[in-house]
Amino acid sequence: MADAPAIPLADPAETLRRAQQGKGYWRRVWKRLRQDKVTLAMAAVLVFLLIMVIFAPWFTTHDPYDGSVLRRLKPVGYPGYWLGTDEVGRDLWSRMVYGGRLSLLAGVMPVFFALLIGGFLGVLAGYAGGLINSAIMRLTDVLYAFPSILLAIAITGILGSGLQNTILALSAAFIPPIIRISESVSAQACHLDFVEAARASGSGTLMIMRYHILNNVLGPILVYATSLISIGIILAAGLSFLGLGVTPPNAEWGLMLNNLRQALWVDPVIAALPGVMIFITSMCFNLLSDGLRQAMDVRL
Amino acid sequence: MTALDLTAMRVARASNPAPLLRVDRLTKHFPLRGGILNRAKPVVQAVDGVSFEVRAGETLGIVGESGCGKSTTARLLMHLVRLDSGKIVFDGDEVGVAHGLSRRDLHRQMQMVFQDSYASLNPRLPVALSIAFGPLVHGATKSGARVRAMDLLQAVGLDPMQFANRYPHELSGGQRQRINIARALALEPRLVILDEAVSALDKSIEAQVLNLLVDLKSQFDLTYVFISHDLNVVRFMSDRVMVMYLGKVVELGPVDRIYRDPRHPYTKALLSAMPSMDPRRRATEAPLSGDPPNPINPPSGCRFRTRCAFAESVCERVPPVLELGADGRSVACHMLVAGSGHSRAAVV
Amino acid sequence: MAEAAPPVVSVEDLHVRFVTPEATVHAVTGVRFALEAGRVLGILGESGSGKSVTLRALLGLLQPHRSRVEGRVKVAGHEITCLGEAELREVRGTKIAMIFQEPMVALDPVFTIGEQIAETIVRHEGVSWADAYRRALELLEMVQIPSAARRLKSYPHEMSGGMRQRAMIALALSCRPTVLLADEPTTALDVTVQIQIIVLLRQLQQELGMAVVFVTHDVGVAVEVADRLAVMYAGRFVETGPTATVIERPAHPYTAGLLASTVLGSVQGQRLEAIPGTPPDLSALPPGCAFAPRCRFAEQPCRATVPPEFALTATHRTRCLRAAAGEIELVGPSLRERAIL
Repeated sequence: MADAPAIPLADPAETLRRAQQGKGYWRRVWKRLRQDKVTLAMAAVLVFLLIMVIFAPWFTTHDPYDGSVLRRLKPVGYPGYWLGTDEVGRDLWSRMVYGGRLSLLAGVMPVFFALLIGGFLGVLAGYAGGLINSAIMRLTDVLYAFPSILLAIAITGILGSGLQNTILALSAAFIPPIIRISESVSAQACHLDFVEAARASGSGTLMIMRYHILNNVLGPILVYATSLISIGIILAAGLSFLGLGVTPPNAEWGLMLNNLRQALWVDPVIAALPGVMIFITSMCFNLLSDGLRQAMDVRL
Repeated sequence: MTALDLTAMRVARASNPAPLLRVDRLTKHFPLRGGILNRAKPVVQAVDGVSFEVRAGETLGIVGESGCGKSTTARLLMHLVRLDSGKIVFDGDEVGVAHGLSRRDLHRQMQMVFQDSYASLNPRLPVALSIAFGPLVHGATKSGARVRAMDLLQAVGLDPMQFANRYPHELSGGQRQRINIARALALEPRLVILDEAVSALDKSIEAQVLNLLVDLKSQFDLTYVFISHDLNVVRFMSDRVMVMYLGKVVELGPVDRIYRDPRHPYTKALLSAMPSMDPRRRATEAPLSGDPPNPINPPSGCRFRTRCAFAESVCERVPPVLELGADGRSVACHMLVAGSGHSRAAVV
Repeated sequence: MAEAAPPVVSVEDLHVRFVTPEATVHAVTGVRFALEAGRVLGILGESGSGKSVTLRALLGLLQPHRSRVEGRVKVAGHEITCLGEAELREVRGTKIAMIFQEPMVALDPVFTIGEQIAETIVRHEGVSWADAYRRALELLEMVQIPSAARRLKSYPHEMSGGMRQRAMIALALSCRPTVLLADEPTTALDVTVQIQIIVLLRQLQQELGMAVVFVTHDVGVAVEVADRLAVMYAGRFVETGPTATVIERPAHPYTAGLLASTVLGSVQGQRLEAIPGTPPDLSALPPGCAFAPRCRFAEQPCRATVPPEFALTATHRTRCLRAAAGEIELVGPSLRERAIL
């Protein structure tokens, strides 16, 4: 440009200092997360759990399916089986670790699918408004009328038990709440000034959604989704407990809880152990999602 | 645009006096929810029969207090809000009709800078991308759009190396408003609407941004519509000024003449209500009492009559028309129209 | 001319710092002034200058766990920094009252105006409700609210902006305060309403003989309202003096710059004299004069140490080394012909 107006710029040292204080939104969120001790601890626990569960053969010595009537319900600290054995003599420790695989899968995958489907539908409904919005939201209301556990039970009752059907049922239970929150956040974002400014540059819906809506709604939706994971784990365990989820002889925490009920009078510690795992994992995800929500609540 | 193009355009314009923007009886009423069924539903008459012209290369200032409709007018011009009735003609083409200018094409010619510098920028995008968004929408390549954004950052006085990848929260109010101006210029518009663009800035920063706007206007050969509640700023920036009250235009004309010799009672009151800057000549009495009334169900006839010292019965019955006077000034007041029936009007 | 009335507000060496884990913000540094009864002090400054913080320090409104207030603040005979919360509550509303930019800060939306004013009177003065309502009616008439008797029963949301502002003023004056603090009360108002409130405040101030500290960023409003002006920049008073003197013969480059950049009297088409740069970061103030980075008269001594307040006359003080030494010539905007009707 020939003669740019000669306006003195802000003090360069000062602007540089501001630049070094962290750039984009997600980088600032990451910075805040790093400073939150509780969340870091929870994340560490979950990472540890994940590693153990994925590399289960390295962490266990016995076959989780290998039972023996002689070894039934041995207590904690039994030589060779440090957490004891279950009601058919299988090593409880290996069953817990291998069971973690299925429990985590059954808890996390539904949220993932619900996020994909529900997130898309919700953001579309929020931005489009009018008839599309009404159609999607009223359909959601119908599904929302069912308590999620009953909905999941009904679906697995019809389709039968097993890991796949569990994931399907829980996805269906989680899609309505994610649609709700995506629509709500997206509808709010539409009225912001910068979206109006984007419309004023002649932009069509798709470009606006891609550049302006999506990056502003992802945050809250993500937080909500991570909080759903903790519920997912409990629901999956609950379904297995009722016999509608993972089938025996597979290891899964909810199933183990059910099977070990009979051990309650013999050795209550053993009977409670799978429940402890469910509790720990669910709590970790819950606190992680809380920490994420707090980190994202950046005062700009 | 090369220098040759600019000269050619100026020569063409000098010989063609048609206005760049012509607005004819713009009307927008917002219905309110509520009101008793089958009775008159309350309606906000935000803009009612507003007509004016903007000539190429000038700055038209629009002043008025809250509820006068100036912001709604801006949004109607930009087609961000649908008109109820009226016509907008840009450079001879009517907007929104079949063989005229489409909304998308209108936005290539006319752009707007909003008041809230922070809310107008996507907090998740680096500012260069916010600027480049317009060109991207209209088919520019990613690199082409980015180059344009860098050029514009330079033009508004921000070093592209330092500022291109910043986020809005890292910038001051004045810097953000420069980004908004750069964004408005990205599509090479001919007319820029500035809706209270400097109102939220500190006075010292406001002066900087006003200087920038003046420079950009001559550099890019722009036409401005400058909306503000600050009478001093409007006087500085504008060639002609339009005074609005409760959805109607009450006076329109060259800015110096109107400020020196206002004709409409409201304009007179508005100008005398400005603080004087002279401690020895302080106001002893307010020129108008009460607040600007609500645009819901405004007074019949002349809308200013409830606060006007000269209101008479004709003012209640007949709404005044914006009469173009011989000296290029228009006023909407019965007192100045011969034979209107007002006691102060000339007798025909 | 004026008899030596004892000052009703006396501030000595006020420092306010906001301490956060990231940084310490020096909001107010070394502010000193005195105000007699019946006089109006206007504090003029832009955003971030510390003017609102100063006002809140006068009422003890700064939260103790994040702010450090040092200095002596004596208002209406009370040493504010030494009072406890209960004692402060007694003083606020009775001896010292405050009005705000946004009336809904002071008015409770679920009670009528009459109830709110009467309740304040009953609580602080112990009179009966009937007497309090009578006083409330008088107050509403004093602030020139039309149909005052009817308005006693109105809720804040039923009133227009200008009327809410008047109601807030009535509430503030209900217990006959000695000192009135005003934090940009006209900033959010339309210009025709603004002048009404300004005229009203001046009238009330003269009738009731209150001392008023009026904070604003608008030079025109400050000139209309204040007897004395204090120009504030980066937490310090850079110039104080009688309004006419400060406006016509500014003694600090910032004041001169502020007056020159207000759009008054500037010629259309010419450039405004803008102050270059941006206000400083209050957590990282430069060692010398805070305005030096933006000042075209700044020299080495200016940047070395913070200039103290120099007394040019008995009433006019400045923090500019060079202006006090007579080295620079500062010109205020000449009072040329303006479109005053």
